[in-house]
Amino acid sequence: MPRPAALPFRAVIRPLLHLLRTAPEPRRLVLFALSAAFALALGFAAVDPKTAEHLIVAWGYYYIAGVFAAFVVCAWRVAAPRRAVWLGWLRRPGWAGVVIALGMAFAIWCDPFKHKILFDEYVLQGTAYFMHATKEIGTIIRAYDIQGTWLPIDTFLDKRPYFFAFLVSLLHDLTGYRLANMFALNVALTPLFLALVYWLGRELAGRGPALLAVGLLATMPLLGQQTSGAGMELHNLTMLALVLALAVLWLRAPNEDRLSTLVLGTVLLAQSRYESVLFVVSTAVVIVAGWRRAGRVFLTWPALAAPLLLVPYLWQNRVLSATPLLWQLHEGQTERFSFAYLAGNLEGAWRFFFNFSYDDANSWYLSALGAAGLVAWAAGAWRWARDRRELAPASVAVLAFGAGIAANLVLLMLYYWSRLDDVVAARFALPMCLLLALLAALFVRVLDARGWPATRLAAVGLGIWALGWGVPAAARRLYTNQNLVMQEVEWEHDVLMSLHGRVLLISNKSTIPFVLWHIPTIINGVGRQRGEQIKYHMKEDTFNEVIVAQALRPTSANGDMGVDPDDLMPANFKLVPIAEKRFGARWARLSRLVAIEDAPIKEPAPSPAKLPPLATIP
Amino acid sequence: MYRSTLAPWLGDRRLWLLGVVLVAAVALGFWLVPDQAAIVFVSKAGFWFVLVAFAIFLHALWQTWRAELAALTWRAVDWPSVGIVGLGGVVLLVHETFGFKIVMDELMLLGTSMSMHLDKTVLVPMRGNDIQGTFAILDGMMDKRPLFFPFLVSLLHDLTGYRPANAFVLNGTLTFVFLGLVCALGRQLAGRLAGWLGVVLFAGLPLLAHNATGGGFELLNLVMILATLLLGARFVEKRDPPSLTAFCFAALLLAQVRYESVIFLLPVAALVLWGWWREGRAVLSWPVMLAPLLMIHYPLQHRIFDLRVSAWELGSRPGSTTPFSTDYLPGNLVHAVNFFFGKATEQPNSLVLSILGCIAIPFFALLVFKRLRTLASEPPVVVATTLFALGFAVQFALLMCYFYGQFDDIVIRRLSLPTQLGMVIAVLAVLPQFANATVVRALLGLSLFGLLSRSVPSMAAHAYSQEYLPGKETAWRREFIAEQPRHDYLVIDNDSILWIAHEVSATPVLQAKKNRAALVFHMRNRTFSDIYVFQRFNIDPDTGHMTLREGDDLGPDFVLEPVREERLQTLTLSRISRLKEIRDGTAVLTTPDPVQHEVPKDRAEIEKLRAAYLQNFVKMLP
Repeated sequence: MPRPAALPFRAVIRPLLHLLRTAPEPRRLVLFALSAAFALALGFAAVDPKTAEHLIVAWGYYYIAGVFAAFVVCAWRVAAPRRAVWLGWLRRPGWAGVVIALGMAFAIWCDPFKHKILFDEYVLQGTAYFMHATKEIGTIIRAYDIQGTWLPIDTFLDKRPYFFAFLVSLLHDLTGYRLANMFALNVALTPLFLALVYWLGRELAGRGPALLAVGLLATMPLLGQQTSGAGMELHNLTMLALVLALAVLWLRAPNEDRLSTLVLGTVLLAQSRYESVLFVVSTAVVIVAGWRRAGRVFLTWPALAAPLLLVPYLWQNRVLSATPLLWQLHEGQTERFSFAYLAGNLEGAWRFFFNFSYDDANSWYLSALGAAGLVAWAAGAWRWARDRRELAPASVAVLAFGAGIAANLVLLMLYYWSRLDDVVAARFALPMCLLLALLAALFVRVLDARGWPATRLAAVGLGIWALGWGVPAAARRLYTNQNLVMQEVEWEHDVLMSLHGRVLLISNKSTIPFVLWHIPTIINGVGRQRGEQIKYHMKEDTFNEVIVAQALRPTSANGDMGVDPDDLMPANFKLVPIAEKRFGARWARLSRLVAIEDAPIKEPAPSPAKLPPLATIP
Repeated sequence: MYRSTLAPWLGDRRLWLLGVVLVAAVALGFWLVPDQAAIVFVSKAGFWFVLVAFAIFLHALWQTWRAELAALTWRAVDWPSVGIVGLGGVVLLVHETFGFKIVMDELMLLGTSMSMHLDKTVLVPMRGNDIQGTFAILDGMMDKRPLFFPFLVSLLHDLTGYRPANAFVLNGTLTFVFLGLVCALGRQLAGRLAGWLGVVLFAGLPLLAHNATGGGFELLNLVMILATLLLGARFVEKRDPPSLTAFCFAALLLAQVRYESVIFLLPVAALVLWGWWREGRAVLSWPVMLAPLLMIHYPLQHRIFDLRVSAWELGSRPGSTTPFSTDYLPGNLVHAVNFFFGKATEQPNSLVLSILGCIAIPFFALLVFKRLRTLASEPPVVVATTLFALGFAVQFALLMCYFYGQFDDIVIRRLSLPTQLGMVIAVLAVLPQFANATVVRALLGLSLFGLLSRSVPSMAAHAYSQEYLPGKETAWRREFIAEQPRHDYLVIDNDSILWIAHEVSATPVLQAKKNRAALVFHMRNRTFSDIYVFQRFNIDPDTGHMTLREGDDLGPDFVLEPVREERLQTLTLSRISRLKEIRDGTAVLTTPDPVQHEVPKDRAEIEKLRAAYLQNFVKMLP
């Protein structure tokens, strides 16, 4: 028996070296090495962040459109020969179809369609709108209706990868611009994601456990929250499951088309969320394992170009690193990643995965079954280390991507804003939830094989969990409804829509939602400094109304409210309150700006340290 | 001799186990658990007991019908009967407006379904508020009503999201189920035409239409009585564990629909024993052996009647000192006759059903006595009907001995529905004795004529419900709720549960007067977008002078501004007012805070003040 240290060399490196030595087209290997070296140089050294930003803004749309088109072509080439198989599934979906449909219905119904994460989802919508309108990448923060045209004036390059925004912009292109397209896309992704989970679960553990995995994920309120939201989380999760499925297909029968599809899928996955670039490593491991199974090394043109296709991601990351304003650090924080955040984040993760109250959108049942699955997997790995029989394709793929998901979680634990029990950060746990669901399927399969009715018992347990915890949590939706700023934005929108004529809003939050609703908006910091210009337009009747949004804060236990110091307007701005509403323990107020008097009193400029996040600056 | 006959039964250990479980259930339900602990137990565990029973019932139905369902083809379905059931259901549902017809019963059921949905507890929410962006239930009380109906409504909430109208969805669906079961029973008793006759008789009953479009549990009660009867017939036919389980759990759930439906456990027990006797052994299943334990929450919940004397509502009938007495019998029988044969403008009855039922009942009684002797040779459905006749008779007798058992009373007439079901069953059971299809056709024609000429106009006018002011006021207030763009206001109303069940903050008048300082706090701090007050005025027919209903007066310190008012009846005025200010003599206490206070610049300090305010805010909630 070999020593453990020698195992990787004997099992992986030596066979790989042998394969490389005997590769039928060594020139392609050289080309790949050159492509990788060129990509590294281009991504890290040759282009400065400012130029990179300009390149992404001008060419990013065409880059992502090209990758997506190539992926569709390659995917079709994989799917076409197996038409009879997938047409059969579509025509006779059976119990799997019923469970997926029910799961989808539950996920869609358990949370209302609305924006859940501020202001991320509006930023994505702003990017999608700009991509739709101009085929450039940018997020609109200031726009006006000029001679009947809604004209973007200022934009900025957002930090978020833009594959999701691109898909939304495609929907806008095909069906016309509307905010609801984002929800439509997420709804459409839900059955696709659940079907992929079923397929992966079936490959890994069989039909019954696969249905259990679908049920576990579909009943988790977090999935419902994202299904009916406007964020990119469900899209990222679907891409992860899709690439995982492509990895299984590749390992089953390695060939050129499957390699190209897998590689392009991975590039798109990297453009789905910041940290999803980690799965590039998982894909690389899977590709090597596929070469081993095929007994030869081969590279297709998309695979050769893959390192270059990741360069825009590197550029965007460098732009982000060079723009601290985009980091959205909390007060007192100076780094995005640090070991100092580890303890708090681990505590938050534990509280999220094993929260038994109705406050979080978690499923402790999924966590418990998944944890048991992890133990079963570890026991299986121990046995495998002794006999080292060949693993099934699904096992290899889940192993490689499971490691990627674990690395993703480790990275998140070092991130400054990753307490998973924070309602805004809980969505980061979704890839881990996918892994836990697959491990849960594995767990019940192991017990089933020993003659226990584990799948049935787990299904009964799922029903009890869903009724006792899942449904009550979804009924209260504290994780969605306690987003009071979102409720404020909705209320302000309602009040503004009830006003007649053209309105200019001076907002104390962000301009982006209102710009998307075609309401000219500036931030109050700008409003304070632009009194003369506002006064000019009031005189010229450019706007029928100028409305100022402010927050009121209690100054004692009895209330005694006052205007938030950040929202104070200069004394020469004459305001008449028109609406007020309480949100939790603060109030939102909308006032009509009736006059800006002469000789304005000079307001001190806000200190640079207190600059609001970029998303809120017009 | 007896010893040798009983030997196989005495040797059956499962029967001994069933006996032990029964004794344990009785001890737990009636003696071992103290009153307060019983209420807490039902509040926490009631939902789960009903859930387990319901899951076992569905599983047993699947087990006993699986083979038939697998063999079912579209061609085998009796489509004309399906069409008649569909038409009958439509007739019942289209003439009346959906709404909560009986106040507070239906609202209490809705409230229980709300808490079952939100946290799987059995409580009627009594206090609820939006504190941090979501409507939260702060307090509640246990209702006396059985749990199966609110449980089903809560399942609908679970599947489709919370909305009060789910109670109507359930009753609308149950209407078709009920007519389908009537059709099936009639078909089994006297052929296809008899099934249609049963459907037409019920489609022509305005009282059924009134309840089918309401939020009460009457429809479910009828469905469960019929389902139990039909499953009893199936058990007599099959005498196997799945059919026994389905039958027993149908009965168990039936007992949890209406208080008095527990009576039907008597014919159920008789039918089971008769089935065992016919089989020569005790047919049992594990769920049936454990069934008594799944009923213990029923007697435990009944302790409310011991804890709250007011639960019997004896005060609603002056002079009544005991809930049940034979003294009430003569008077109640007169009221029953008034109901069955009253004018269509006054009572939601069906003359055809009443006449046919009253004719059929003596014949049916004779038939029952005759068949009791020849039961072994009778078809299963006849055996079940014969024994269930006993249940219908006891149920009617009990209601006639109830202090509030006046069938012509606007609130009580719904209690006559099981009796009317018994009357229709009597008609259908007697029909084969005539052995003449012409008679059935003639009765069908007569019923159709009655439906078109008397029942439909009666349903369309629903004059019989116009005098019930609480129902009209409930509908009026629901219209008000629907018109408000946001549920961020507070209502002072003695029917606070109505508003809370619609996720609107509410408090009764007495509480508002008691918590005047809290209301001042909330008005100064703009906690609510508005505070509304619901009041009813009684109008003197001679002078036109209006006087506030007792209990609606907030006193002179509460300054009100009428927002909406309507004379829902000739001599009453219902009014919703806005609370403008609260005074202490001449001093106005609720002048809004002028927003001139200086907020500290430090964010930590702002957060500290916010937390202090929130803590005080929660304490001050009405």
